[in-house]
Amino acid sequence: MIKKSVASLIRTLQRERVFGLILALLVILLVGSFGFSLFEPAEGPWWTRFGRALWWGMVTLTTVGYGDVVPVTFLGRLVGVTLMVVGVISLSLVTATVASVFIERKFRQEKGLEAVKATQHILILGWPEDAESLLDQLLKRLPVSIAVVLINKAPPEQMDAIKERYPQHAVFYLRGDYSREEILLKANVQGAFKAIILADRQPGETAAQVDQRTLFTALTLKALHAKIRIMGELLRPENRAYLERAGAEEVLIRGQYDSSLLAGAIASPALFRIYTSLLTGEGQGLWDVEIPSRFLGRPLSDLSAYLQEYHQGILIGIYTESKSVSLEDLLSEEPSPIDDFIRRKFAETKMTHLLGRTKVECQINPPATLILGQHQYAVVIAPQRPSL
Amino acid sequence: MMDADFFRKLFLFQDLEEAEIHQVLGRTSLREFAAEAVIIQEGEPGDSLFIMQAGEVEITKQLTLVLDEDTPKERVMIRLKAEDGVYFGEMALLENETRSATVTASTACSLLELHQKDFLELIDQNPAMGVKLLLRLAQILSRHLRKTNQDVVKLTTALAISLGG
Repeated sequence: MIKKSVASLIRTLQRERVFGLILALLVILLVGSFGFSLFEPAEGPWWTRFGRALWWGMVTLTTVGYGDVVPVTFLGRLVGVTLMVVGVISLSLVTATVASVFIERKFRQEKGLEAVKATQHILILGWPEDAESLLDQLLKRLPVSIAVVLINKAPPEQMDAIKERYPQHAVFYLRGDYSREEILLKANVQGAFKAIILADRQPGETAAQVDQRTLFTALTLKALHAKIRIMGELLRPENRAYLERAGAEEVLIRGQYDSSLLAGAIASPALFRIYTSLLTGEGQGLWDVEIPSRFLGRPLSDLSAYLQEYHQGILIGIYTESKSVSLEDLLSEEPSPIDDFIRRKFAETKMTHLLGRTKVECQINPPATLILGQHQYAVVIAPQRPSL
Repeated sequence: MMDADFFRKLFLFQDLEEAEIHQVLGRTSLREFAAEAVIIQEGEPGDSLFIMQAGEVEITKQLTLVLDEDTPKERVMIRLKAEDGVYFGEMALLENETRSATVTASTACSLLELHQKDFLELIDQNPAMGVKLLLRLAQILSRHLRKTNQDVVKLTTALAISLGG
């Protein structure tokens, strides 16, 4: 990480010809010092005389001017004047260039052009109108340490305003077409653990075009970083199968729940209010908590009683996260040619992460007699995340 | 050379009396191979079982079909020592098919070869012993089949995972 940023800094300095300038300064210093040692009378062998001249040259060139060594002859003073003038000009050039490199970096960051160096971050691709509320909800639930990178084509001013709204969170912005590989690489996609592709409909685009872009993005993401978890939003329900095949773990259809919400609102307005307040997370929210080890092997009623008493929480469901197909379990411990072959082939294609995959099974309103087991999580309605 | 204890270690002979083992060994012929010599070649016809007496062999088997010249050849390799009671080519006693693996001598080897014709005659003359031998042979083959079934499950799972992920 440090090595990489130092290398990139050196490259930038090289591009700005800072090293050329420093070299030119060195030449001037050497020529000046040579002139000084030539014209100025001094005692001792040549190396102490030249060393003294070099010291004087450096003191003059950097405009420090101790005055411990001074030219007295006419020609020596002429060299001194030249060195002073050249020194002031070129030194300020170097300072200005180095400063401008840093200022430009900051500027590019604001404009969304600078590469993101975060790791273990979440990518939000696209910026439809309602994305702000998504980011708001997301940041409410995320630990502060997880960085969020927004990639879209929205104006930098808008993104800057959003970044300023969450000062305690690490929110980065990258401007560009998120279906393109170089933009995703700029966002350090290999370090990201989750990507959310939103259906960002630009003026004049059809729904099919938007879904196509989502699909391309999912494919590119998986090609760049096979382990990344993708959540994709589609406009047309018939494209769901394609997006799932492209490797998206979760697929959401825009407006999928609108009809059931609306129907609910007509049938019983109170229920609609309850749905919406749960969904927006105002007051009471839905939380998932890992079941503590002391509840393992005990009936569900124990946990729900505990949650109600100490956390004002209602347990509404249980989900199990299990490894569905784990090839590692299947492969034997002792060496066998076929096992070695499979392991080697997976390693060669860099797909070893596929050897074990997680699968989620949900159970809403489980019976109170259910015995709690390992890898289970409880879904709770509570004012804040219950810490067990 | 006719060390009964050595041959009793062989899975194939475990049910046999000492006299019966000698009877079987009497039908075999001694074959000597120099190091690096190919004893049997995968894909070529063969009709004999080999029992190792001394030396070391290397069994290689092609894992994937050779589709064209460019595809890298995947091979498995196992080294076997005579002391562990090694025999190979047992499938050739039951049917006339091509060899399913290549066996190469890694050191100088001495082996006993039993041809299918002699084996069948032996069973004919001494059916009681023949049953014991065939039972062992069937057990060996069912063991192999079980192992192959496991491998197929592993490979199909691996295939499903790699295509589905």
